[in-house]
Amino acid sequence: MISVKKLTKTYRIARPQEGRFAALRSLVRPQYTVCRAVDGIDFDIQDGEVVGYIGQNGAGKSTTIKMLSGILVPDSGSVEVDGLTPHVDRKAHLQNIGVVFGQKTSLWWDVPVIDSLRILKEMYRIGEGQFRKNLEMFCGLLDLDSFLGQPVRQLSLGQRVRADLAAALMHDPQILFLDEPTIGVDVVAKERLREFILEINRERKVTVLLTTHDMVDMEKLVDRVIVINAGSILYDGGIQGLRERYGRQRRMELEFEGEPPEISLPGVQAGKQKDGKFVVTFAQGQYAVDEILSHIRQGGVPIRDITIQNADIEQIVRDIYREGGRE
Amino acid sequence: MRVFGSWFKTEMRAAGLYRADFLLRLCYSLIAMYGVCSLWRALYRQDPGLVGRPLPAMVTYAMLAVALDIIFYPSALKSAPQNYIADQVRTGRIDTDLLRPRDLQFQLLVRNAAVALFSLLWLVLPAWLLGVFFLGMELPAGVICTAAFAASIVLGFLVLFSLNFLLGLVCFVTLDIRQITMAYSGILTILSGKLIPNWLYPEWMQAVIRLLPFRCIFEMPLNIYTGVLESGEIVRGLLLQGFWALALFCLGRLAWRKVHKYLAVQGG
Repeated sequence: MISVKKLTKTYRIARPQEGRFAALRSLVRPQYTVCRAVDGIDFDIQDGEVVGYIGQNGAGKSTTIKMLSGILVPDSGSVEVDGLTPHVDRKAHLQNIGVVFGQKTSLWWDVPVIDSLRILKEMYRIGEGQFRKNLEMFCGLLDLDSFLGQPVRQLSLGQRVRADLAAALMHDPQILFLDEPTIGVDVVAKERLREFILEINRERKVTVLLTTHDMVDMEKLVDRVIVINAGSILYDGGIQGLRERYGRQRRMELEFEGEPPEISLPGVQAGKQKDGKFVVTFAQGQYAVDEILSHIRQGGVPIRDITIQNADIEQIVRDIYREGGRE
Repeated sequence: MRVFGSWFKTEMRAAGLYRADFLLRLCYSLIAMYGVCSLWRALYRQDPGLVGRPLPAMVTYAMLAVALDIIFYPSALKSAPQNYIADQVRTGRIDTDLLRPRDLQFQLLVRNAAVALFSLLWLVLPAWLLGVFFLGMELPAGVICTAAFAASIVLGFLVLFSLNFLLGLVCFVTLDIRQITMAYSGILTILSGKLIPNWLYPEWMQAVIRLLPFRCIFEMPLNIYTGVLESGEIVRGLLLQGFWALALFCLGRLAWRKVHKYLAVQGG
């Protein structure tokens, strides 16, 4: 369905110049820094998959989405979506996909939601029957009724994203690109958006590619994760695999009867947290739990309580970002 | 065409929704019409031979110009192409316009045409009727004249739309067009025949104006309405408007292709 091969995109960014007549020189002969936003990435996405695309700010997520939706032309490599090359067969391709940016609305700012939907209906040449059916369904699932008559600028963020999602799906696209759809939305609204996305994926077999910084999104929505860092793919596979490959940190929470003892094992981090808990983290293969515990007991302070956890997904992702994927 | 219908209905509903705003716009044009009417009457009392046209024709010209201003000068409207593009570029939402399966120029033309038609029916027409009944405005000089006037308004709209669209495209380069818009509005007011009839300018200035597209917006339809043009001149005038409308539209298309390509390659 979606096939990306050796995809590369570089931006030229004008570099501010220093010294005499800097402004004049940058006008006459601007100097550029070349920034490689996406650097030779490959992936395939099958029909009906929900794929999470994660990476730090500036890792190249939005640039990839823009190339997949056809508004950016790649420097090299190929993109194929449903047999079409997005930036070449632009119009046919745009009929096939829906795109939602959590950061900005694609609806007309000062036009009531229902009117925007009606205008889109004509733009995408949606039949009246299909339009009514979809409108009814989305109103039910996303609870649009209460604000259909209001212009977008009056909507709350949660309402706006819901309206945008409905608008992106009115023409029955088979592929949905979501760029940080849950950003800034409250917990309840987030949950509703997630349920909706799952429902659409289940009922309509819509393929979903979403970028997010919300790890709950990842755990609840996604079958597969692609992690991108500085333009390159670090990991592509299931969430479970991500845990196995990167989740090597274990975490131990301890409570002591007195002052916590000094811990001096190489590669082990230990310290008191704000809430008074004493936390020890160590690498899975390096030490056994027992080794750590016996080391602590040598200090002679009785342990009152103990919990041991594997690293959660957020911790794993944090580690990947920090290390840039170094094994 | 059906997108046009949707926008038209949207405008209708918006007028119903923002009734005070709608009435204010109507009031504004009536007051402006009364104002120019009084001004020209006062000027004629000083010197009846001042502009070389009889008073009723001059008053009709001036009042109709103000009424047409509602459709031809919607710069205050967010939907005007230059304002819309400026807004979308400033807020970074222009991406979302590129994600629709229609061309941006087409999208904007359709929306603005719908807004213009709405304003013509609900603002210009009432203003015109009140002008005719209460302020001594003349009727057009015959059926052919009326038809030619209608065609001339459409062409004038197209010329203005394309100029506005081109101005909007400047935004992609400079990111801010407020200063340029001020200059542009000034030029439009002075050279289009809206406020000052072009035949009052010195000969050299009239020669310059004849080379520019601006007079196609106001002067042409107004001259046709007031019947100062002979049939040959009317045809020539419409052809000239048609030429500018087509030329500027194509120019807008070319410029937009270039900008679009730049956006797609450089990423805005």
